[in-house]
Amino acid sequence: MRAMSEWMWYLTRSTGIVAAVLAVASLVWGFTFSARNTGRRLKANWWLALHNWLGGLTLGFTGAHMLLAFLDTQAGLRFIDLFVPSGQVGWAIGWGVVAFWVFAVVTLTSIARVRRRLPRKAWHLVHLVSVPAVLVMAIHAYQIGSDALARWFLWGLAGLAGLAIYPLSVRLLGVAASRRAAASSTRLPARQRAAA
Amino acid sequence: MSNLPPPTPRKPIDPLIQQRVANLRRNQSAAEAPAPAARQKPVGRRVKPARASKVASLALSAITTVGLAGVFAHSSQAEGAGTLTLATTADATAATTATTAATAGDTAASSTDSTATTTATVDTTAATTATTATSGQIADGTYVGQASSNRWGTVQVQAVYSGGQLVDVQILSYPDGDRKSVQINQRALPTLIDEAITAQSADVDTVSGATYTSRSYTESLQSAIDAALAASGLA
Repeated sequence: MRAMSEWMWYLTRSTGIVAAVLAVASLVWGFTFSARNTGRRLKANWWLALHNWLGGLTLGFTGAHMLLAFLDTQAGLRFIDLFVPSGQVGWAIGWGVVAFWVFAVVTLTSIARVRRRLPRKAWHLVHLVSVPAVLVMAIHAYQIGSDALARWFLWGLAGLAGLAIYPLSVRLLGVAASRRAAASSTRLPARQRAAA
Repeated sequence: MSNLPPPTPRKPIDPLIQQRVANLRRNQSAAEAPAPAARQKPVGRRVKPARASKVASLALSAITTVGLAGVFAHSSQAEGAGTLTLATTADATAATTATTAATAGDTAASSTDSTATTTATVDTTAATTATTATSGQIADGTYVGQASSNRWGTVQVQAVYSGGQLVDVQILSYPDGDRKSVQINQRALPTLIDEAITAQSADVDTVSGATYTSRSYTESLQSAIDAALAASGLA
């Protein structure tokens, strides 16, 4: 029984780590796609399809992470603790619950049928909340403390942050450039704007 | 006769426009035409972008999950070096004037997966030593608490009473199966000991990042205090 609980604990940790990597990968794919920085070798729909798939996988592995934590009798988590963040079980777990809900909402609103019914701006805003959710997830992983002191964990965290920063920067630079272009075009007289 | 000017010749219609009009008419007639009985599905494979990559990412994730769990299991069994000073039951026995026996929980005995040497020193029967109690206060002596097991190992403490006051809490065993446990406990246990001496009870706050150790420490210390109260006739 004890050995079983130990394995539950190891699997809980590993599913959590894999979910974190998948979340960052989904973020990278999403930003690469939206920044039109996908290159010529692979089609844009390949990037989009894989972005969606990675997002779904993130939610799946997060669900497995939560289920295993619940089944681990030593963890002492109640069913409600998996879905309601509270100070009773500690905010280290609470941050994970918050990240789960954000991932769930982002993934569900990205299903084509749901997305079609939402205004584009609202959907986009909800989608962008996944960026702070990844940060919240990192806080959860660090505060829970199981691997926080391990060197490999800190290097891994730094590596994932580095991976996410590049496409994020490209995207933000792209947004800034397009805004500048839009601002300069509105300053032109109507005749010149038409000519442009 | 009217004085109207002669009509100007009509310009010829642009052939491009003529073609577009013809196309529009054709499309209109096609739309009005009855729909075919059964539209045939396009023959060929349905487009599923990134199918191979999706399968690969799923497989890689599953393999990584299992692999990481294996690494965790392996590393938890790796021997770690504990440097926290441990009290021994022999020290306690040396300071005794009277000995009573208290049965410790069998939870410590159930710990089979830890290779830590300290876990092996945990006795299923904890020795409690006490001097004669003066009226209304806990008798001077050393009282061994029950071993309390958690995910990471076993915590067992002994409470030292002098002048009716809790003056020290000594650690008999703590989880030291891996370096990280040692690191956490070296940080947490001194804090817990100080808190217990200040509070003169086992009612101490959980140390952040050492939840399991804190819980087990509290349980073991509470049983030591209960033993002290029982030995002093105050229970």
